[in-house]
Amino acid sequence: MRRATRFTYQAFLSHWRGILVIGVGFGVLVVQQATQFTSLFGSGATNNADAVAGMQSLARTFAVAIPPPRRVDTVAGFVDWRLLGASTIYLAIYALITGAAALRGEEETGLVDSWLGTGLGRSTLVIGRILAFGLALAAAAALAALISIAGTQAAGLPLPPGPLAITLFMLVLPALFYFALSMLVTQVLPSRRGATGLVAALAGSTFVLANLSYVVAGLSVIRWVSPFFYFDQGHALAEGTEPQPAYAGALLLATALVTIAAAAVFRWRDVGAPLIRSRDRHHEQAGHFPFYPRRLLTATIWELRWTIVGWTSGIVLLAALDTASIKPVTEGFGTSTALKTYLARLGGGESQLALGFLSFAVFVLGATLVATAAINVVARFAADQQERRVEALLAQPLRPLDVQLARIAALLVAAVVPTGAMFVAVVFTAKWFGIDLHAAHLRGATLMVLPLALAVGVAGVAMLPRFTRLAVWVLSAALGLSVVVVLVGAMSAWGVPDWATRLTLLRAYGRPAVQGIDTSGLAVLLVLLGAGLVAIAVQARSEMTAG
Amino acid sequence: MAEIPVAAIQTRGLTRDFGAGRGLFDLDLEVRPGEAYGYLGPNGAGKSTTLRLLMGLIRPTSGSATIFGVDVTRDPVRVKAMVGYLPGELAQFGDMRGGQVLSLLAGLRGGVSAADIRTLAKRLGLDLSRHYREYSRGNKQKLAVVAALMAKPRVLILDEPTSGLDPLVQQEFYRLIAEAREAGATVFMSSHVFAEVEHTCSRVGIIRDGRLIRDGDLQEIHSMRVHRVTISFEGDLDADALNRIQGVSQARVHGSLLTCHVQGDFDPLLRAISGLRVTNLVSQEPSLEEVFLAYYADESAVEPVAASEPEPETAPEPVTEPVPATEPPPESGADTAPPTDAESETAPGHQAPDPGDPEAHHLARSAFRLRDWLGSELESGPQRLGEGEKEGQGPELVEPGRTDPSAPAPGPAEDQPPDQ
Repeated sequence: MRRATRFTYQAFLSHWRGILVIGVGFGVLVVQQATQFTSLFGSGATNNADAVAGMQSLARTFAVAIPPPRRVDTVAGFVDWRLLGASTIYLAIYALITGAAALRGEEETGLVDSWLGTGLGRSTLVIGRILAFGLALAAAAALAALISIAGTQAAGLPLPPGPLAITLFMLVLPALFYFALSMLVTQVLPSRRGATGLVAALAGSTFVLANLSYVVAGLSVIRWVSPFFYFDQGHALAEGTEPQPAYAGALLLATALVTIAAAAVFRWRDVGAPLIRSRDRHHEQAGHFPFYPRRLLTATIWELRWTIVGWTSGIVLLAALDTASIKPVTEGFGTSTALKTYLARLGGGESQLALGFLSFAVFVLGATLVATAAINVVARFAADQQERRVEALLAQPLRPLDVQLARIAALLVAAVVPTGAMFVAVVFTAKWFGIDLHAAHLRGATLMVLPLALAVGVAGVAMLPRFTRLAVWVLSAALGLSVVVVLVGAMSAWGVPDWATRLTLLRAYGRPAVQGIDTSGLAVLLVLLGAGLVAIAVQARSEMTAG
Repeated sequence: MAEIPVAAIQTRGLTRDFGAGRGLFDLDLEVRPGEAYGYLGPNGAGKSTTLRLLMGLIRPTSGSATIFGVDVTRDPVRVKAMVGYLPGELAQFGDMRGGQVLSLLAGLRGGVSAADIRTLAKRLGLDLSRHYREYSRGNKQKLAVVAALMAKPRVLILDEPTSGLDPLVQQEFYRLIAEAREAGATVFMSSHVFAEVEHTCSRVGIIRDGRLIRDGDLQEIHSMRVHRVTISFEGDLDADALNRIQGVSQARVHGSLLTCHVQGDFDPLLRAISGLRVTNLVSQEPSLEEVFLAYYADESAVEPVAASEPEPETAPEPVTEPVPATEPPPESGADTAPPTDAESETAPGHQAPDPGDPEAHHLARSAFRLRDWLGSELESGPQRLGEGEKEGQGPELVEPGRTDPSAPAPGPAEDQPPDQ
C-alpha cells in the first residue's frame, strides 16, 4: 500500500506543469471573460436583449462547437457559455495525449520496467497513474477556482463562488475519462500514434455529438455516449440551473470501468508490446529496406510529415469555419450595439466589421497557430538532440551547420504548407459563400504569416545547440505573452499601453487583412529572422549535444 | 625519400574542461595505423569524452587531435568520412524500423552497399524489419555496431561496443573487428572490461579522472588480472597450503567447495589440485571498474608508489582477515610462510576494508596491486613503453607490504616460474 501511495504521489508530481498551466490559465480566463461581460452588457435593457439575441444567433451558427447558451445575460451564464462549455474538448485532447504517453510512452523509455521492478503491481500501476492524473486535474481545478473566485470577487463581479468551483471540478471529468480511455486504447492497438489519433477522433466526434444533439432531435437518443454531455447536464453555473450529481457519478463510473479494463489489459499483455501486434514485414528478406529518405534535408522534412499534416488540417478547418461564419456573425451581431463594439475591437473598426472578424478569427489566429506549429517543430528538433538522433547523424560526414540548414528548410516547409493551405481554404470558402475579399490584403495577410513563423522558428533553431531544453519554453512564453497582450487584451479592452504591445510578436504581424502590410512590423520580423540566421551561422561549428 | 608514417590517431594536449575537475586533460596519445587500442577506465573517467572529441562532436578547450593527419576540429567532415563510430549512449529512433535507420545513415555517409548492411545484420542476428522501439538493448547495440562497420571505415572508434551483447554475439563482434583489422582498419575502443580489450586490442591506455595514467602493451594488463575461482571437488584440500601457492590467495575450503583468488597464471593452482576429481570450476574476473571503485573508495588512499611500502611497526589498523600482504619474491615464493596478522596490515593511509567482507577485501587488495602498477604515473603522468622499461616486459610491480623496496619485484605473470 505504501508503495502504491508513493507511486501515485510521484505520478501526481509529474503533472505539475499541467496543474500550473490549467489552473492559472482557467483562473485568468474566467476573470477575463467575466470582465468582458461588463463591457458587452449592462448599458440598458434593450441593448442587453439585443446582445442576447446576437449570441443566440452566434450559438446557432456554432452549434457544432459550443453547447447552447443559458442565461448569457448574466456573468455566470456568459462565462459558462463563452469559456467553459467549449474548453472541455481542449482539456480532453490534452488528457488523451498525456494518457498515451503515460504508459506506452514510458514503456519505451524503460520507466515502466523500473517501476514494476520495485514490486509494484501492474494493476496498481495503471490505477495509480489514472488516480494521479485525476488528482492533478482536481488540483488544477482547485487552483483555477481559487484564482477565478479571488479575481471576480476583487472586481466585484457577481459570479457565484460555489457553483463556479463545482463547475470547474466537473469540467475536468471528461478529460479524466479520455485519459483512462487513451491508456486503454494505446495498449491495444499496434501503433501508439494511431491509437492516440483514434481516441482524439472519438473525443472530437462525441463533443460534436453532445453539442448537435440540442439542435438535431434524432441525436438526443445516443448522446448519452458522450462524456461531454454529462458535464453539460451535470454542472450548474448559470442562474436557474441545478447541479445534477448523478451525471458526474455516471461519468466517474464510466471512467472507473475503463480504468479496470486498462488494468486488465496491462495484466494480460507483455510489457513493451501492444495487445494486438502488427505483422512484421520482412522487407530485408526480399532485398529491400523499408522506405526512408536517404538525404538529410528530405529526411528532416519527412520526419515532420505528420506534424505538418496535423497542423495544416487544424488550420484549414479553422480558416474554413471562420470564413463561413463571417456573414452569420456580423449579421447576427448587427442589431446589438455592444456586440458591434466588440466586433469593432477585433481590428476592422465600426465600418469593416466583417473584415475585422476575418482578420482576427482567420489571419491573426492562423498566424498564431502557424507560429505555434513552428515552436512545435523546434520542440521536435530539441527531442532529436536530447534523444541523441542528431549525434547519430553527426557521426556521419556532416557538419552541424548542415543539420541546422536542413532544420531551417524543414521549418520553411512546415510554415509554408499550412499558410498556403489556409489561404486556399479562405479563398474557396469565401467564394462558396459569396463573400468578397480584398485580394491584395488577403495575400498580404497570408504572406506576413511566414516571416512571423520563421522568425519564431529560426530563433528556436539558433537556440537549440546551446539551450536545447530552454528554447521551447522561451518561444512559448514569448508567443503566449503576445497572445495575451494583443488578442485577449484587445477583446477585453484592457487598455494595454502601446509600448507593451509593440514588444510583442503579434503586434509586428499587425492587421494586414484590414490595413495591408505594416512595413515597420515586417521590418521587425525580418530583423529577428536575420538575427537568428546570423546566430546560426556564427555557431556553425557549435556542439549539438543532448543538452 | 621514405614517406613519413602518419599516425592514425594523434592527440596533443587534448583537453576538454567541463569544470569542477570533470573532463579530459592534456591527453597525449598516438595510435598507429592498423593498431587496435583499448582505452580503459572506470565510469566517468573521460573515455566517452575522448571519443566524442575525436569525432568532433564536442570541441576541445585546448589541444588538438588528428585522424590520419586531419584535424578533427578544423575538418570534422573529412574525419568522419574515414571513421565508423559507435556511441556509448545509443540514439532513440522510436518508430523507425532498423532498416530505415541504417538506410538513412548509409545514405548520409554514401558508398555503403545494402548487401554489406544485410550481411552484417545477418551475422549479428539483427532483424532489420522491426521497429527500433521494439528492439531489446542488445539489438539496439547490434544496430549501432552495423552502423559503425557498414562503411568499412579506415578507423573504428567504438565506445564500449559489446555493452548489452550476449556472449555469442560478442564473439561474432570480435571476429568482425579482427576482419576489419586484417583489412587494415585502426581500432580505438573504450571499455571498462579487461576481457573485451583483451579480445581485441594490442595496446592499452588507462584513464582516470580525465588523465591518461598508463599507455602500454596489452601484456602488462595480464599481470593485473585477478580471478575469483570457485571449485567443487571430491577429496581433501588444505586451504593454508593453497594460500602458499604463487598467485593464489584467499583460499578457503568449505566441505567440497574451494574458493580462492588467482592472480596471473592458473597453472600452479591446477597442478595443486590435479589429484582431485573436480566436478565444477567457475572463474570470475572483477571488472576494472570494481577495481577502480575499491581503489578510489577513499580518495585519501591515493598516493604514489611509496604508499605501498608499509611500515609494519607503525601500521595503524590490523586487518582480521589474513591477507598475504608480503608476497614472496619469485625465487622464494613456495617457501614463504603464511602471512601473519602483522604482515597483513594495511599500508599507512590506506583504509582497511571491511573485515567481514572478503570480497571487498579482495578488491581492495587487487586495487592495491593496480595502484602499485599505476603508482608512478599518478603524479608524473603517462608512461610509455621504452620510457624506463623494456619492450614486451611489464612495469615493476611493488607488492604491498614489501619491506625492502630494492628487492626484486615480481614481473608480469608470464615471467613467473610456472610452479612454485
